Amino acid sequence: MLEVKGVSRYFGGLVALEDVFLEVREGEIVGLMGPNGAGKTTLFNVITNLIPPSKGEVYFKGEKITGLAPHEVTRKGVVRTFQNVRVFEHLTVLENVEVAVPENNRTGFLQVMFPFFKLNSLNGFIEEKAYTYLKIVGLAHLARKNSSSLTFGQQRLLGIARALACEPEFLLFDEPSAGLNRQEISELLKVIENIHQRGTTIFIIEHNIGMLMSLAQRIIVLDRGKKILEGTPERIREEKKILDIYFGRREKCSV
Amino acid sequence: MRRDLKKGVIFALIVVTAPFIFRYVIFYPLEPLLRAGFFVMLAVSLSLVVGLAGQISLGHGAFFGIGAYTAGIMATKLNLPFFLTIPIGTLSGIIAGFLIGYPVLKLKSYYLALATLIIGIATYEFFKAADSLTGGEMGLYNLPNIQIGKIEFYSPFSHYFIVWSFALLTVFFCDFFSTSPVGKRLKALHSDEEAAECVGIDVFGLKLKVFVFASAIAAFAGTLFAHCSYGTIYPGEFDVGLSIKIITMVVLGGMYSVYGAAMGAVIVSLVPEVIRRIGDFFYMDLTQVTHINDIIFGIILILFMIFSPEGILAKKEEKSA
Repeated sequence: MLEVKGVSRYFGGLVALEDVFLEVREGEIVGLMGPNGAGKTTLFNVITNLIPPSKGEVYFKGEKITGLAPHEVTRKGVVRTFQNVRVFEHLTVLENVEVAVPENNRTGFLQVMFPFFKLNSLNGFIEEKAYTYLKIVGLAHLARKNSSSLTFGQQRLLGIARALACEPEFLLFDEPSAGLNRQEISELLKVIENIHQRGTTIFIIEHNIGMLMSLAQRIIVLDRGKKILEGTPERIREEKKILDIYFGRREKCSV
Repeated sequence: MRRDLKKGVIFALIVVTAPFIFRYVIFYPLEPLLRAGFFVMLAVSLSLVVGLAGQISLGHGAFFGIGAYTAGIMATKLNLPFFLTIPIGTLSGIIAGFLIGYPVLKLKSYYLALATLIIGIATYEFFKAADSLTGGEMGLYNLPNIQIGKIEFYSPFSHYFIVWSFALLTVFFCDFFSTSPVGKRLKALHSDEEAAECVGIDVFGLKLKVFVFASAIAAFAGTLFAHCSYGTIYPGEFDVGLSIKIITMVVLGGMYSVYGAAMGAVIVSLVPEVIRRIGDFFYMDLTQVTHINDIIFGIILILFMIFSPEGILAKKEEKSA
């Protein structure tokens, strides 16, 4: 479904990604691992075109998406979340999701300016849709609250609801469990599984191997901008010893 | 929704009664109130760009000038009637907004502020320099009043009601606009442009559209100004000071509120009159003090930045929300 073909990205003399090839097939959950600075987030940025690649191309359903503006990539169905969430703090929780609903994005200036009466029903429709996404992540009861008043874990979930509202076929999670406690992580797992069952393909950056083991069908390991390993979670677990030696950080990669 | 309606009705009532109070109770000319009407349109339209979308523009007065001069030139040189000069003037604002906004909105924060400031200065210099077109320093004169059939609207009262009815429309519409799907998207890109892109919002396109929209309103206000200014317009009215004044109004009234911007506009445009009145009270002509108005605006702005950076209405809104 998503193909990354020979992508490289340099920041000056720094090599963030070098000649990365990978593929995610429809219906899969694929995990992306690697130490800090391995280029995981850069890869996500390149896929969604927030940062254009120095070399190489990304294809989605056989169509080249490299070179499109980020909002066009999103509208094609490739949607990402952010590691540090980045909620829209000027908006309420519900509005945060509303702005991501495609119908909201299709409502142009002229439509807002002229048929006042039709807009009411459209607003209602968008609001209802946004509510359903909030229900999926379990934040519906906070809909009218200011988004900056949420806890960090709730903001994470809001970020996911917002991404869902874009109606993604392919969803990229950037470390969804970072900074969350055990209970929040188990809630998050349920939400992600739920999203997967609704037919969304998932590509997920995660440090927490335990979480990846239960979720992912395939894991890709990145180090210093290069893909060094790819395989089923079992295989990665077997390779874990090698990985530990390779990264030299035994304690951080615990299962 | 009901609260908005109440706010709107109160605002409209004040607008309708104000000129009668001015004329028959405190015996004061209507000019300052008329001016306030133009400033309401300018401040409210700018608040969409600055408050809602978070893009600083220090050259909003340029579009007011462009609208006024286009309408003025059409009326004096080509003898076109008002129902043509007003749409043409507004259209000129749309075109100018697009041509200026397209390159300028690629810039961010300070650079954007600087670029728009320069646009404001450049248009002022152009109005001064293009003698054959704009009449240079002297400006345009013999501008016709709005005339429908045999009825000519030349009295201050008629000007007041023409200008303020459009000012009210602008306020109501922009308030409605800021809660519409487009308004929400603008608030989202104000918070975080990258994240907005990632939920499918065309950030640059939206910025450009709101900039053009605000320019159109400003130019429209300019065309009214050309027809309700007792026959003359001159470059001095469209200098940088004008743009700075408009942004002062927006900041004063509260960045995120359309009604706040409208209130800021009224207050700032009445300050010079209040100063004059205070001077009269002490038998002094305070208007003789150089830049007295600018000094007072400066002090007001500084005080607001210290004590209420969110503006007059901001705090109240937060409590009731």
